[in-house]
Amino acid sequence: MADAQSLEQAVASVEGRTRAGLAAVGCVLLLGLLGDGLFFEAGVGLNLPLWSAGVVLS
Amino acid sequence: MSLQRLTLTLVAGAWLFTLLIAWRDSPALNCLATGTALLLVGLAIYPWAQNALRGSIVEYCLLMPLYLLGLMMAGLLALVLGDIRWRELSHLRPMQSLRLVLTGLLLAVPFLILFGVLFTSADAVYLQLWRNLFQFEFDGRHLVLIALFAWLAGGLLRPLLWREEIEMRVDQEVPRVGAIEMGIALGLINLLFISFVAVQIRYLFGGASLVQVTPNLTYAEYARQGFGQLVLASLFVLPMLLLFDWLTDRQNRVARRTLQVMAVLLIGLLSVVMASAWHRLLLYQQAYGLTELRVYAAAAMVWLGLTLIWFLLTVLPGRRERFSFGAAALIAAVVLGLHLVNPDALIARVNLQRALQGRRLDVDYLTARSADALPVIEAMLPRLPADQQQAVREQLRRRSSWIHTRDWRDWNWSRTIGKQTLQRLLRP
Repeated sequence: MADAQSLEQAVASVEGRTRAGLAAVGCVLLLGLLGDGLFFEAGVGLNLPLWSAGVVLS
Repeated sequence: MSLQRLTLTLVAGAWLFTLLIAWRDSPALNCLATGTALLLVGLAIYPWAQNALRGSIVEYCLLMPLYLLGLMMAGLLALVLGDIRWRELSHLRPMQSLRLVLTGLLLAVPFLILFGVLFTSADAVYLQLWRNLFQFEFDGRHLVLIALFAWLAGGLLRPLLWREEIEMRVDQEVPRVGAIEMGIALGLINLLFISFVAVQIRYLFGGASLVQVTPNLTYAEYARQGFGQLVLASLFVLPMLLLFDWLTDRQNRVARRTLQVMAVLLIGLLSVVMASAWHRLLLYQQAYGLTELRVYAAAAMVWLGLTLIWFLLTVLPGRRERFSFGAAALIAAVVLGLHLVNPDALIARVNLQRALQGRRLDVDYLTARSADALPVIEAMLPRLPADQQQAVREQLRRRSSWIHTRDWRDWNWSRTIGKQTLQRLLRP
């Protein structure tokens, strides 16, 4: 119980910018993987709007 | 419109332009759609200067490209090294555990390598065991692509998350020009334009006879000689006028008035130059047929004509901060218009029409068009003489492999239609 509370306090102490930054880094990594999946040995077509949709949704 | 709403609108617009890539097949159109999407994203993430630089040529040609390039290059690094304050995370339990694990790994790695090398050298069976364990194929290009797209995504996402104010004071030391300098510079340029226009008007309104009486000058040669140069000359006028606008002392009313009069005169003269370029384009097309370059040059002239009108309405009356969005909207409109017109289909239609009138048909050029042109070719081919039909079919058969997409990822609508069309065209 005490552990859970201290974890909550610790998470709450992380500033918004850091939290948003971490989320953005996660999105960036996923977009990197998505880009590889969509563009590896492929021409340009449906993959570009799909990847862009990923960026917009992020 | 609020800044956030404008940003969202621009980003949504940019995405719609990427969607056009899944519609048409022409590589040139795809490049234009991608370029327009990037331009709209650039407008969405660029923090406009709040001083005299706003809407100036320095902002368009120097600050904006450099700033956006910097964002794209450094976005991910700034995100990881600047925005995330790792110290804040250090007291979280998962981070503490991670730190312990990493410390253990760092301590172990040198010794693992040392003993691993010794043991694998000592025993061939043991070496084989490790070889089997790591015998999997991995293409290094995956890592390059992942890094590239992550980098690109970082560059795009960070400025959308945090819009930064930037201080730009490049114009503090720039010497301004007054009415006399402005009058001399633009006056001389106008004189040059007047001298050229005086000759052009004779050709424009003199008709074919004037060209035909000029020794050793055919209509086609006349058109060919000047079209490209005139289009380029027309395209240079806009940045030049933006430069003069920026250099003009805004407090000096006479200087501003001189700029306005001279710019209006220059744009009037330019309209004759553009009409001459357009005239030559038509002659050129009549003599040699339509090509991609001619279609895009014509589109560029349409954009320039509209943008010059926008320049007259915004920059000259002193509202230059409104110019950029209008000019970008005109680019988007022209690119969208090109997608609707379908340049490759237009080229095929015009060139086949000429062939039907007995003119020469460039079969190589016709069959090298993208899948966008195939429905037009199918519709008009039966009206051609049998030998030309045969030549077109033969060339299409030889080049038919390009239309088959490797998988769903590079799919586009035009190629799907084109594939069916090609099958019908090549059916014995």
